Parts: sequence; C-alpha cells; structure tokens
Amino acid sequence: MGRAYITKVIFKALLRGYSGKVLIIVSLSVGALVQLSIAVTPPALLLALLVPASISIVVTDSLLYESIIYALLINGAPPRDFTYMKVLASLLIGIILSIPYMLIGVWLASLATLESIATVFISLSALHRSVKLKLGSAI
Amino acid sequence: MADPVVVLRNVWKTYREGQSIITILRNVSAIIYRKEIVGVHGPSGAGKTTLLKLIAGLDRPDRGEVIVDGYNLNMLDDLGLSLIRNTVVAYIPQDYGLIPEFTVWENIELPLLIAGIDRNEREKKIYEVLEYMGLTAKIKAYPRKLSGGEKQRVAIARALVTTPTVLLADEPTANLDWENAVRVAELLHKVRDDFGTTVILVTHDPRLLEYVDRSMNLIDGILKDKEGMPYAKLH
Repeated sequence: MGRAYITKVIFKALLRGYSGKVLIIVSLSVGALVQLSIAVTPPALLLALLVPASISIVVTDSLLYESIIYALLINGAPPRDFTYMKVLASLLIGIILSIPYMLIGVWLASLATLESIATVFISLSALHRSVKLKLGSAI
Repeated sequence: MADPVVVLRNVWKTYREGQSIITILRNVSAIIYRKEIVGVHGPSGAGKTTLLKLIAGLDRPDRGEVIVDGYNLNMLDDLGLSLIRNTVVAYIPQDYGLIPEFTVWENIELPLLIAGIDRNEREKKIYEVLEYMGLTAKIKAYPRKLSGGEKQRVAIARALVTTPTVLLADEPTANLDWENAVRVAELLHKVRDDFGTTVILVTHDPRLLEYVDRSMNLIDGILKDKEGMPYAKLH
C-alpha cells in the first residue's frame, strides 16, 4: 500500500510535467536540512542514514524496473529518462523512508549519550539471541 | 495501389547467451500493407516477439532494415525511436503491460502524458476511447480487479488513444478462453475498419489465423508464407 502510493506520487509528478530539476533540488534541500539537524551526533546520523539508504535501494530496485519502466518504454518515454527517473525516484523514496528513522535518530540524539544508544543495540542483540535460542529449542 | 506501411528488408538478429551466440531472426524480409491484419504464427522461441519488438522500435536489428510508416528505424536515435513508439506504433505485450498501481484511466492516460498533451485534450481522448471500448464503468478500477478480457481491452484502449498507424499485439489471446479470444480478434477487425490501423499480431494458436487477412509462419527465425516460401526470396 505504502509502496504503491509512493510510486504513484513520484511517477505522476514526473509524468504530469513537474520539472525534474525542481523536484531534485527540493528533495535534496529537504533531505539536507533534516540531516544537518542531526549531524551534530555522529552515531545517530549513521543510524539515520544507513537504514533508510539500504531500504530505499531494495524498494527502488524491486519497484522501478519491472512493470513501470516497461510500461513507460513501450508507450514512448525515452530510455535516457529512466536513469534520471530512477535516480530521482530513489532520492524521493529514500527521503520519504528516511523520515521515521531520522526522527528516531533525533530522539536518540536527544538522549545525548552514546551509552544509551549502545544499550538499545545490546538489548536488541540480546532479544535476537533469545528468539534464536527459543526457535532452536522448538525445532 | 497497396500502400506498404511496414517493410522488413534482410533483417538479422542475434543474442549472446553466455559464450554462445543465438540467431533469432535469419534474413527476414516482408512487406505489410496499410489496413492489413497480419498474423505471424510460430512455436515458442521462434523469434515472434523479437520481430514485433524490432517493428516497435524497442530493439534494433544486427543487420537489415526496418521501415515503419516511411521511417527507417535504423536511422533514428533513442529519442526518435521513442517518438515512433509514442505516435506511430503501439505495442501490446503478452502480459498487457499495465501498471498495477494505476487505475484504468491512469493507464490509458500514460502515453498522452508522455506526449505532453494538455489536460482537456487528454480527458477528451480518454473518454472517447473508453466509450469505444465499452470500459466507462471501469474508469477507477485497478488492473488486479479486471478479468483477462477486460485487461486486454484496456491495453488495446491505451494503444489506440494515440491513434497509431500500426498496432502490434504479442499473443493477444494467450491468456484468454476461446470465447474471449474471438471477441478480441473481432475487436481488432473493428479497430482496423474504424481507424484504418494496420494490425500485426503474433500467436502460437493457429485458430486465430482464421481472423487475419494474411498469415506468415516464423520457424527457427525464418519467415515464410502460407506455402512455406521464405519471404526473403519473395522480395
């Protein structure tokens, strides 16, 4: 549902003639502003960047190549636009997906200690190990 | 005098698969005339889809010429081929090529958006084609909610909305029962009669050839007429 909606918004914006350059500048500016706001805390920045980046790569690859690109191609969209569209769509999807993670990043940053972030990771790791052990014993 | 609209002249096409090179089309030549409905029949892997993609400007031949409505596709760059796909030919792939996230209306609107046609003109054209295809009740439906026959009609509607000279249909009845297949075949005849469109369809179903003006056989990359004469020797 979310994926479909994002796809639709991006491609409609492009196909309805919104300037790609304007979209890129706006999305980059928004992304840059959000990221600058948390840049003062490097661990939170790392968390805020890596997770959405990897998700956006997966989503973009699965989303954009098959049905949409093919439909655009057979209906006469120039192939050279695809790379451009793909980059733009990646940026937008990445930024949209980044927002919740960035908020988490900002929240973590507000805790202001590296130790508290480490505690979260340690707890998650312990939970993971415990689930794995339970699954192992169930089998 | 008959007006040639698609001319294939000594066309060769090969693909590389790992270390080996596979020849898909071997010295294919043919002339297809305006307002003709031509069926290209052949087994799977014979090169039928490749032939359609060359005529659609989706691929280029290794050797030979493809001329569509007077345009020599070899002479066009990517932008030129895109323009041909948007205005001169319409290609309907076997899986219909509809975008699942878009409604029927939005799918039909796609080529008009690419062409940069303004909103009022787009709406007028889409309503006309939806009425023609009997799809007005399905405007807001998503492809997943449509039957196979309806999806094919939407794909034909999208192809027709730019009033192309040539309509290319890849296995248009492959996913349909015979009753719906006949309806699609009759619809293609109506399209030819009403719009003067040249229709080229490829099929592995010999029954569909009863509904075309002329049939060709594509076997192992060689295009032959009904009597088995290679077209390369005819032209």
